[in-house]
Amino acid sequence: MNDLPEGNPARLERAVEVWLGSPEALGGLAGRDLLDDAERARADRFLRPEPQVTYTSAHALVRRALSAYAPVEPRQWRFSVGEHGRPDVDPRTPGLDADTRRLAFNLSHTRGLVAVAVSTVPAIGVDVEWIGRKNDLRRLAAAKFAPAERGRLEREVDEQAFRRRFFRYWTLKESYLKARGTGITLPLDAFAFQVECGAPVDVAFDAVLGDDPSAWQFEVSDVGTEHALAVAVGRGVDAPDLAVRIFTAGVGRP
Amino acid sequence: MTPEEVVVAIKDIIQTIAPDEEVDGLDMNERLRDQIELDSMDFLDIVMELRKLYGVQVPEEDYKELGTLQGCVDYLGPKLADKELHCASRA
Repeated sequence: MNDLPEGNPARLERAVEVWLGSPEALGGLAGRDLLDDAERARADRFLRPEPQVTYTSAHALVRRALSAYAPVEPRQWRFSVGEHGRPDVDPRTPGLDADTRRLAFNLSHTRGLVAVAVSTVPAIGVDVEWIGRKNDLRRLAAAKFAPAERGRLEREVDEQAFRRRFFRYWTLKESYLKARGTGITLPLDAFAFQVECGAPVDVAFDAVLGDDPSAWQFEVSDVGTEHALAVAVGRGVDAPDLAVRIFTAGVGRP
Repeated sequence: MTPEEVVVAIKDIIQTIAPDEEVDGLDMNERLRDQIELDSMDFLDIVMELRKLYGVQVPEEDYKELGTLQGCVDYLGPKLADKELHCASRA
């Protein structure tokens, strides 16, 4: 567990901080007190309790994490929604100044894990996945991944190794799409990641994406034995890398 | 396939991909992702099942049309009009 001083945006200069926790460790439905009416209504629309718990704890974590960097109470944050449904901090949130209005965040959750990335760089994306999920990964890779990625996956004969590599590619792809704010409207095979031990994550973009690999920084890692995590940062062409710091969050802390 | 059968087809595919989910109570006009735990990977699985079972191709730019059950009926109805319903989860 890590504690943060309140209202300190200076921590985020040239940095991305990622807060992780299981829905249970984050207090589950107790986080409901922090949500606004729209968030509570959305939590209530889920037909089963498990997604309600995950949604509630995730959105409560967003509010608590943001409050670690600005003098705003968790309940007071306001959000706006972009064209593809990506939420952002509403700069009209009371208490923000020129620095803290630049706060950007991204949220991801999967079975057993919630992640919130916070930065002052607007183009950030985070994705977490439970690597035990039952989807047909080989079919997905064959249909949607870039040829170079498919080739490297096909060479993984061990099922666990295949699974780990698949979810590294998948979380990287999702984090990139989320950082761009487009969702899966871009073709997943138009960008290919290369992830090898000890080397920085490498990416190649097809011309159709109109993007430049030198504008991006990617981080990917395992979280325990059951989850994968990736972070995408659109830090600008040839800009220096940001520090990516990952913390475990709990009840009463971000 | 009638519009009612399109709904059965979509619910059946969701049930195959996410067996824990409760599809009977789904509202036609609420977003699917607001009612059940369905993420991007599940959504791609739905698209691939539609292709496998019915030969229907859904390009990336049209994914947004499948956000609700009513959207699925409106978008897929014409494409599935001459297809027969298969129930994958009970096959």
